[in-house]
Amino acid sequence: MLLTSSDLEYPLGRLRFPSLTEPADPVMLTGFNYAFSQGGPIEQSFDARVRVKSFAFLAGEVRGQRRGAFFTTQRIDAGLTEENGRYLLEGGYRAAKWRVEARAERRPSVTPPPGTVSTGEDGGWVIDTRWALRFNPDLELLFEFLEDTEPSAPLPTRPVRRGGVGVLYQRGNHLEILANTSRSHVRTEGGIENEVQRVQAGAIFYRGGFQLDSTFAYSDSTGRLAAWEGLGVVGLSAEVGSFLVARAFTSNRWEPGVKRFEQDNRVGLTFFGRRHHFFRGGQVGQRILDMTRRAYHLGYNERRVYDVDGLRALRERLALSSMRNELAVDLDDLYRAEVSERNVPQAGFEIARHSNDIEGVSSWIYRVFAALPWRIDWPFTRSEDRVDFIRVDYTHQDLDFSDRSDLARELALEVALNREITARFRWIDPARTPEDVALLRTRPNRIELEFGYAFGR
Amino acid sequence: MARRDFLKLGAAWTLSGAIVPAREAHGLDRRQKPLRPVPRINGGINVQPVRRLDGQLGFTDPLIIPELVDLQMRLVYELGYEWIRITLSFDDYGPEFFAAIPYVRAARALGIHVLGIIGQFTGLDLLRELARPQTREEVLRVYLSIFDDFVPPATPAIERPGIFAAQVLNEPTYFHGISPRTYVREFLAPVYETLKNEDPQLTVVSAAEAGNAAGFLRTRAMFEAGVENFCDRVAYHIYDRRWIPRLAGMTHKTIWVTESGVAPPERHLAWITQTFEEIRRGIEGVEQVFYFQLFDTQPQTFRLIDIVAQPDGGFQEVVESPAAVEHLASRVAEASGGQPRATYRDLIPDITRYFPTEEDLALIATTSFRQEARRFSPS
Repeated sequence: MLLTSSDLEYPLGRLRFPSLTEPADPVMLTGFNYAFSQGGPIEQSFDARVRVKSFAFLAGEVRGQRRGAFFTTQRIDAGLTEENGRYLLEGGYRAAKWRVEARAERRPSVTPPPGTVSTGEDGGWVIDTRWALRFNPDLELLFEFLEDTEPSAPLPTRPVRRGGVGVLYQRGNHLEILANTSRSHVRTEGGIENEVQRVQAGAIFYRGGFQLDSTFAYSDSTGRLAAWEGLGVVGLSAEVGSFLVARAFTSNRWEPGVKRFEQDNRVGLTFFGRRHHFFRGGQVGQRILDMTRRAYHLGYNERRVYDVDGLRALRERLALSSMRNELAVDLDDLYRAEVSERNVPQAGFEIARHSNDIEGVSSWIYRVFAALPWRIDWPFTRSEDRVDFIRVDYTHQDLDFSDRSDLARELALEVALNREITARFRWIDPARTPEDVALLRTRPNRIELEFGYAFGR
Repeated sequence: MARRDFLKLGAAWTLSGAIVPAREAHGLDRRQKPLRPVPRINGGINVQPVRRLDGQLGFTDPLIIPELVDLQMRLVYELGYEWIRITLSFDDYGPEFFAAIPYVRAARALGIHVLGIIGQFTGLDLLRELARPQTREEVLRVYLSIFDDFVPPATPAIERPGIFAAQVLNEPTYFHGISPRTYVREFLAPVYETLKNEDPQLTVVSAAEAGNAAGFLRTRAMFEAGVENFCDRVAYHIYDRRWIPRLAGMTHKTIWVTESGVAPPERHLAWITQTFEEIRRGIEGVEQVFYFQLFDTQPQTFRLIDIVAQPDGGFQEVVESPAAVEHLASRVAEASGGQPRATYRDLIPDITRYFPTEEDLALIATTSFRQEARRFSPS
């Protein structure tokens, strides 16, 4: 028996069932966020999103100096963002068998002050397009192409032209393989040009309480700065019993014959206040699989995703489709499954070791968190009707540079008033790097406040 | 330090007076032709600006022991080195900064070129000053006034004094913790511009990174950031032959290998005779290779000599790398063609005349760092 959200009690009371297929009349607020930060310049941001009948979503945002407007239907995405003369145009079209996404970013034209290294504000455009050809609900062929219209601009190291091809295969919920290769013409900040061939393969494997996520890549640069670089990333998550999940992660970059120059290793353990579920397993996984396959046969092109926000976006898009009534039960059942198999973390820790030999920094990072569920109960107790309420995270980072060390700390408090309304507070005490000291950069403590609403989350 | 103490070090001598005693030491009159100096044919070597051997740093008196400067400079001269590379440690114009002055001036007077590292052994004081345009100009102007100013040759047989070239920091990520990109953008680029504005003829050399695997990767990151756009010579450090092919072809710019050496001493000779040649053959554009180094406090590693304090208060070198030193000396003898050459003592009868002068102190006293300079001023 699936619980509906209305069966659960949140700090703000019971939550009505958020039907995404009910048309707005004529508009309905489906989300907003307000954020405030202090520490250095005070910055505020606000974004809001409305649904217009069952036709489209309209959204707008103001984030510091950035302003943007967005439009979304089941088939079409469009957006325009501007920040200090820098424009970003985004668009996408989702046909039954293919999809295209394009971004065109126009850099502002600014003359750098004399005596400074130019950041290359030259008025050029960067056009980045991605294409996906779908053969069946499980298989997509991917293409990408990027072009910088001002390749000679002295910008930070970047590809000025890139073409690539790849494949994404999603077999059920238990296996996902992404493989791609690309060739880039890269121009470094110093004006050196190299050709970079990159091959990458990644897989996610899930089987009953165990998930393996891995990526392996190599890139071969030819030109004056020739290099052969490898990347290996492996993440493991495993249920230990029903209420504990152990995680381990390692990411390594190396150059054969030179050294392993960047490492990120982590281990952690999380205790959950109710039975833990992987999204790829259980009812959620099955609903995702059923719904995306059904959508495919109805002429819609949706990739399977396995996170709360991705699933909300997927449900929203399909709720705008002309077949929304045929899909309504599936969409509602998916939401119910998400609620039913929600994870309620109660306590956990993570220890991480990071080092970067090129930057000359290494660090130990310790993260702990503790949470109180709603209704409030003793720590390390369990109950199936719990929902998230208050969570406190603390991060302590010891950084080592060549001739000095420093400490960074962060404290975060998150209060979930229900599944849709969340308030967050963060206090950040950043470390001062040798560069900060030498360049007389201050790093004041920072406070961030955020309040958000997301209908149907 | 009181005035009389400073005078003990010869600080009040002026450089303009240096040449006359040298002539007198030879017993020359103006018609006699002076002996030619030892030929400079053995490339470059790193020299530590040693001022005391007992580890008493800070402002312990005497600040600079003349015999230590004399000993190292004599060896550099006798071993026929063409260049020395030496750290001009900022240290808020502290003792290490002053210690470098006699080394640089004596070398240049002997016709030996000097690559001075505008750097600092520890701490971030110099980087802070170089980051701000006002203090950057002030600090670099003092550097150039003191180290790049005219130095009279020690003998008329030396046609021109050694030139002065500047290297902007040393192994910046390893010693100071700044990333290669930050080094290029925030330090090298503005320092290069300021130095060239002050002296367009000055040769400016970029910092090299450490001669290990991490240093190789950082070197490449410096190129990505455009290091060669902000210097006249790019620098490498090579302590392992496996980096030679990897460093080849990375730049079209002229290269100076500002540190290269090997341990233990049994391997020094082969490194100097074979690996230096391998570096020149393997990396197109290598113009100078500086051996690392003449002396340091680590026994049986890179140094050619040890320095031992004598009961009489003097110092004596103990050759720790006999094969290499013999090789260098034999090359000098061969290049001398059996002709008598001026001895070091002939040319530098009194090293203290190259010590910091009242003019140096007066110059520093005009800067925002005058507080430090006052410590040397007459009481």
